[in-house]
Amino acid sequence: MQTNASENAREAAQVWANACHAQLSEAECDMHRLETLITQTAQTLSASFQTIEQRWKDRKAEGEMLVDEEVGRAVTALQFHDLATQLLGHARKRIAVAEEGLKKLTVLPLHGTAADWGAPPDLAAPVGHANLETGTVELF
Amino acid sequence: MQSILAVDDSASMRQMVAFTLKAAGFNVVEAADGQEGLDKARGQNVNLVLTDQNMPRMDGLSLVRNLRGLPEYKHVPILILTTESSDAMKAQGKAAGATGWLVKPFDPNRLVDVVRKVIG
Repeated sequence: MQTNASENAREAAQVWANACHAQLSEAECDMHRLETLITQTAQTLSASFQTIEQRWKDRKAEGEMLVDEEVGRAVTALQFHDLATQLLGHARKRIAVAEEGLKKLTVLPLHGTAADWGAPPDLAAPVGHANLETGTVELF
Repeated sequence: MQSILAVDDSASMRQMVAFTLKAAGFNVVEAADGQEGLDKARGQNVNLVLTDQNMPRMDGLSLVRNLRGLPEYKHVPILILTTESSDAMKAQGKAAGATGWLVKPFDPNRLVDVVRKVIG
């Protein structure tokens, strides 16, 4: 009787684990699509920027150019690709860790030893930005 | 013309850095990671190095340590331009021999001011 109950519980846990795994896989696919869209947008903006840069350069003598306020804002904004790509890459690492943990949770309690669990990796976020405001400068 | 080595694995970041510094009258040499940066630094007379931290093959801190090991780069200013903003990372940068720590995204005019200040 007790064996049946624990088997049922194990099956239910497995159903949840599979659902979580499917959701994480979908989230990974969504992020991949998002990265493609961001990269394509950045490439388009970058090509436009190169054209503008050349035209702008033609108008002003080298060494005498100042970065206009509007162009300066564009230069800051165009750095979003780097920030977004790093955030996506980091989110993928988090998903991989969650998937590995999920796998262990469904398999190890039955067959594994404590040593098989290991410690989950500590993933420090490389990007803490909530917006595209310019960053700090610190000279040592 | 003073020469700046810009090291970043992001092509868009390299483009923005190069645009900003060229507009201010500097010559810019680009590298896509720390190893390429180190290779290019060895063969050129560079007045300042501006490097990202998180890069494949060789990160920014390793690049700083390697450059400081070269006699010709003992006193060349090295700025780290990165998304990393923790005090612990900045302390590692300072210990490695970096001249300063700039957090992305950068403001172009401010970047030019800092570069001129440290180049002297």
